[in-house]
Amino acid sequence: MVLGFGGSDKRIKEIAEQLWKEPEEEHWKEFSSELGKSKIKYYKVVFGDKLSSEKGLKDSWAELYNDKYENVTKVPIFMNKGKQVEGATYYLKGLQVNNK
Amino acid sequence: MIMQELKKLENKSVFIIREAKLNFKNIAALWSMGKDSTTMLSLARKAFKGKVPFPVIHIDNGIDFPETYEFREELTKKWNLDTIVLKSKIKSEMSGFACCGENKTVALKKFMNDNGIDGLIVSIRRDEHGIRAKERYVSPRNEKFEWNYKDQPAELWNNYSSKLDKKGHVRIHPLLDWNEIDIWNYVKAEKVPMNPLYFSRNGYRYRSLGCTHCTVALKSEAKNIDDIIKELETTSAEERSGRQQDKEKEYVMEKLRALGYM
Repeated sequence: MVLGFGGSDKRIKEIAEQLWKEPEEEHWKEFSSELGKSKIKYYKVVFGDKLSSEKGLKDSWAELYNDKYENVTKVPIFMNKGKQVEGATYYLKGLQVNNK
Repeated sequence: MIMQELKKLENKSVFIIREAKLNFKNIAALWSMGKDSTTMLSLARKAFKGKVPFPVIHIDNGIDFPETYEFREELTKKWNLDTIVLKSKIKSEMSGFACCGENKTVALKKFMNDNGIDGLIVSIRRDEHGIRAKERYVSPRNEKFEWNYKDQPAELWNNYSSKLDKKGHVRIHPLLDWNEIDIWNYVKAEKVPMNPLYFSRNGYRYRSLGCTHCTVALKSEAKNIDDIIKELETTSAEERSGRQQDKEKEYVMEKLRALGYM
């Protein structure tokens, strides 16, 4: 835990980077617990035309914004669970969709 | 006048839910955390003295809105619901929507077969979609979950058939007669908790909820239920205009429903 102004957001960015490399459930749980401590308030899911395959899910992401609608970071929206790939928007719980 | 109409609708829905509980061995309800299925749960609580007496199923493809997951957990706790989350898989290859339709039906089929569910409450309304208008209150499905909409039992004088196809199940539709404004009037009158995505923020709101990939926010300034009702009284846009699957050809929804989709 990094203390000081913007400390939690720094940690969130670190975990987000980790999620891009290893989207494992344990990292998502850590991300979710850090999310509540951060200044991130909004999310926007970005995807292609329509979700027609597992690849489509892997190519999608969520952009995360603070309370001033400034883009903080982005995360994938899937996780590896054994050999399966699952959606992971559950771990963005607590955020609001960015309608701006 | 509005309250009289709502009371009539409520009485009929409560009657159907009670009859379903009485006539089937093992019933469950689908809950998408949307306005219709949440209203249905409110009616079920009314029918059974404050407790929903059957499990409620959320078929989760993993990419629902975070607000929807939060609402699921809040209401499960508040209403002491027996919520069962079924994970549906995103298919590796598929033509069409890999997160919806047939995929969700697979998870549901497995659960119903494993648990011997013979009656499934689904909160569809006739005014939502042309194919849903062809439904009955009590609608049989065969073993493969298929629906033959050209051969359904007549429902004359409020008599409903609970006959099962061999190893099939029956869908129960207690909200079939309601329309979108009825739902919102009821939500207002009964103070039914509602998913926050329905209310406008920064000039956009969701009118019909699916997952993050297939649901588009619509321009709206309706920040509360009164605003929503006013908006609906004057709009010419269809309710599911923000849902991608409805933008496919008309027969796609018909095909999906015939195969067991909700």
